[in-house]
Amino acid sequence: MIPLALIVLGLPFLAFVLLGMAAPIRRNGRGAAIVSIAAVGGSLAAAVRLWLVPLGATVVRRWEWIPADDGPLVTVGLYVDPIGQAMLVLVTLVAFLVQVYSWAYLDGEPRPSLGRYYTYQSLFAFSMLGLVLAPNFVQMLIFWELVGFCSYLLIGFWYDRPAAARAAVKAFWATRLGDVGFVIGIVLLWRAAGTFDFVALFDAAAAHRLPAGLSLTMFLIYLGAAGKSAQFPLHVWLPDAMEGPTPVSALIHAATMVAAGVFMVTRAFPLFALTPEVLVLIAWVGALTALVAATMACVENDIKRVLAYSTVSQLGYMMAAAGAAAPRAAFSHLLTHGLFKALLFLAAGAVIHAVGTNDIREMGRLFRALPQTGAVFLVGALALSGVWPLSGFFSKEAVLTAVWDARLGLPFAMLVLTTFLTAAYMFRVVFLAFFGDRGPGGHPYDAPAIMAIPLWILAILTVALGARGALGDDAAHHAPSWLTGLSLGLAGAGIGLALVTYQWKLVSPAALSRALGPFDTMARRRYGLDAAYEALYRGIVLGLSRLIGWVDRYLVDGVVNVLSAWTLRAGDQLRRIQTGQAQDYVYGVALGLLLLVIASRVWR
Amino acid sequence: MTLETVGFWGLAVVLLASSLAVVLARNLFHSVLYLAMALVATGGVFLLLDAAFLFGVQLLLYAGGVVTIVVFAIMLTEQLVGERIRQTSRRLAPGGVVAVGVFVGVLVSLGRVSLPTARPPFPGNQTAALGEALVTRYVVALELLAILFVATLLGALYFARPDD
Amino acid sequence: MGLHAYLLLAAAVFTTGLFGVLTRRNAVGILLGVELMLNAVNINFVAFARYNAEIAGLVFALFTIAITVAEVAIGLAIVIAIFRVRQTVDADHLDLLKG
Repeated sequence: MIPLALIVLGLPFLAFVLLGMAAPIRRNGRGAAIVSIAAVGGSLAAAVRLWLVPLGATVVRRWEWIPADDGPLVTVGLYVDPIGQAMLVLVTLVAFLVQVYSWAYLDGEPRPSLGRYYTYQSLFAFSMLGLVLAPNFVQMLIFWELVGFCSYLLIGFWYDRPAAARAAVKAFWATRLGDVGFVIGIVLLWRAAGTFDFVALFDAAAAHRLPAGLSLTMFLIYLGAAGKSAQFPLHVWLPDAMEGPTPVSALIHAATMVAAGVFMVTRAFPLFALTPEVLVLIAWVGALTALVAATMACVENDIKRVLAYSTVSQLGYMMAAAGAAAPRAAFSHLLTHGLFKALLFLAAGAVIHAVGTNDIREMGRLFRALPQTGAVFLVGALALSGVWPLSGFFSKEAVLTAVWDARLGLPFAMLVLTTFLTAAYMFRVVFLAFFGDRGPGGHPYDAPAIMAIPLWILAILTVALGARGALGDDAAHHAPSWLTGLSLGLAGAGIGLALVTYQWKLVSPAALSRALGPFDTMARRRYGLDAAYEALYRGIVLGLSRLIGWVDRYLVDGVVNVLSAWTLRAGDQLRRIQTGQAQDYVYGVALGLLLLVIASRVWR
Repeated sequence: MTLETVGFWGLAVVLLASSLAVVLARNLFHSVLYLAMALVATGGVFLLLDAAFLFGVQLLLYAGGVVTIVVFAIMLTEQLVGERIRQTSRRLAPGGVVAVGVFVGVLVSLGRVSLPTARPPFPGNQTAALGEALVTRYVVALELLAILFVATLLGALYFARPDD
Repeated sequence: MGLHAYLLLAAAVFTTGLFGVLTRRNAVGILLGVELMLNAVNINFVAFARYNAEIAGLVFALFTIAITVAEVAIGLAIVIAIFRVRQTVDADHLDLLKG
């Protein structure tokens, strides 16, 4: 068990080290790609093998890292439990497919750049896997930050584009904001519980040995997840992160990194269960995020940004389920969403690769030119909208059931409305891009095999997971029948609205946006969040830094400068003793002699 | 009133007066002459202390040689016909204070110590004893002194070189 | 007379010589002060030699006289050399050591 986990973690790490240090391999882009893909492929194989082993209880293996008096303060190690097994497969699978896809997607990239890309990909795979396998909060935090760093590197991959560089920095600081809370929360938890280790913490939580009043601590820990999983209002970085290459968006900002927040909440759920008030907050924020992001997706014209807002919205779903004390539902939605969102992104990438633009207003009738891509995109869109019998339907239903069962009225209403909006905006994209009567100029060509195969694999998995759900596999599948009807009905209504507006052109989009007046304006203005952050930054951060700069220049430096000025002046004054006239020196000797005589007298 | 006491007081007065004259005279030439008088008085003190040999050496070397050299130096460094160098210094007051202070210090130190007042017997033939001590106990110092003189001679030769 | 009398006499001469070293402006004048100081020291040595019946004092005094002679010779040679270069023996103007 543990050796397999070690292989899963170790292969991408070795690939990264090899690519990082051996510049010739890295500069030969294709060679680097082969190394990286082979490593993550090996990881995938090991992860699948690991997943096939039925796991009774958690398996942990630790190595001491920071020693302390009674027992090591911090350990590093591997922690394997059922959700970990599933997550490992998801991460390695999506990473593998994305890396293979990138081989063709980035074929226009110069070779050293490509090598750099695959080095970062290997590092990311290693970081994400380390996060999943972490047995304690400290290791998780380390890999958490490492994942954030990889995100920065990959978003800003085309670093000569100012927008990409800005987006990378924005992603970094937005998640950093959450991470501040995360770190403080971890330390507070350690103060309360005396350990960072998950096994110890969960045992203590189960045996009610943890002190009360952990609300603040768990809220702070949640903040880290809020930043990483783009909860409102820390979601602002995710749409901008689309400046990175599309495969990166598929991997990091759909399936894996952003899911890390949800994963952490799910993993640490025994601790969150102790603070129901924090859970309620999580649910509310999740539902709000889902709704707000869905409204913003409705007014976006960049296909990747639509998908980005969609990701934010679905992350809100997952968090809402976790907040409704149903971590299983949250995790199942994480898995299904990871697959079909990656599918959607990769398909969008194929479209962009073929058409050369991200703007859906410049697309149309692509189904004819790109039938494969169109087909898989449709599968993804249906899954996202929650249409039976695809995987998305079952996981979304589980989420809604959980929120309803937890008696969270308004969040439930928000999530229900979001279901409608999700179907609407998704099929808006479908109709505008793939159907319609005007096509783009040029000759769009369908995806080459290397790009198509990952798409098909993901589509097949989406359908397969759905089939498993449909065949009544899940024991906890007891949604009230009216709920099933409601969610399907809303999905249908959303698709219908999109059809009517964008395909049959019976309703004009302009009239629709006028009718929804204030909401439309707010959504287009992104609810003023970016402006708010900017104002806060200018006001607080810059103001504080100016103040501190003043203190540094005038007080700290001032002290040093004053000392040095005095020293110089003292030196100048003292130098006058050296008159150069020997008589003065003799005078000094005589004076000294006199003083010595006096001193010897006085010092009896 | 022994002869020694009278002699001591007389010589003391002469010595002190001429010393003061050396440092206070305006004319440097006069200073040198007063120095010669002080050196001779010192020789007299040596005589009072039964150091006949040293008295001779003092007169020969000091009063004779040193004074001559200093006179030469003055003549070479001063325009005899012309202005004399002003001797007033800016360190008169502090210098005076320090000097008086040192004297007072020595005075006080002497006051606390008991010193012999009677003269013990001394070797009769002092010169022979001196010579013997020089070549037996202090022979190393003597040799070193010789080396010093060689060095001095070389230095003097160097300074006396013509400028070419 | 007692040892202390001679010692006091020597101290007085020494002090006078010190005063001369400190206050004279002419370089030769300074050397004259040095002569006085050395002289006083000699008186000390001989006095101690007599009153402690030690020949070492006389030996020391002899050495001192010899060395003083050498020192005067060289010192005045230097003064003359300075005079040749700088056309002055005013100690206040000889400040090459100024820092």
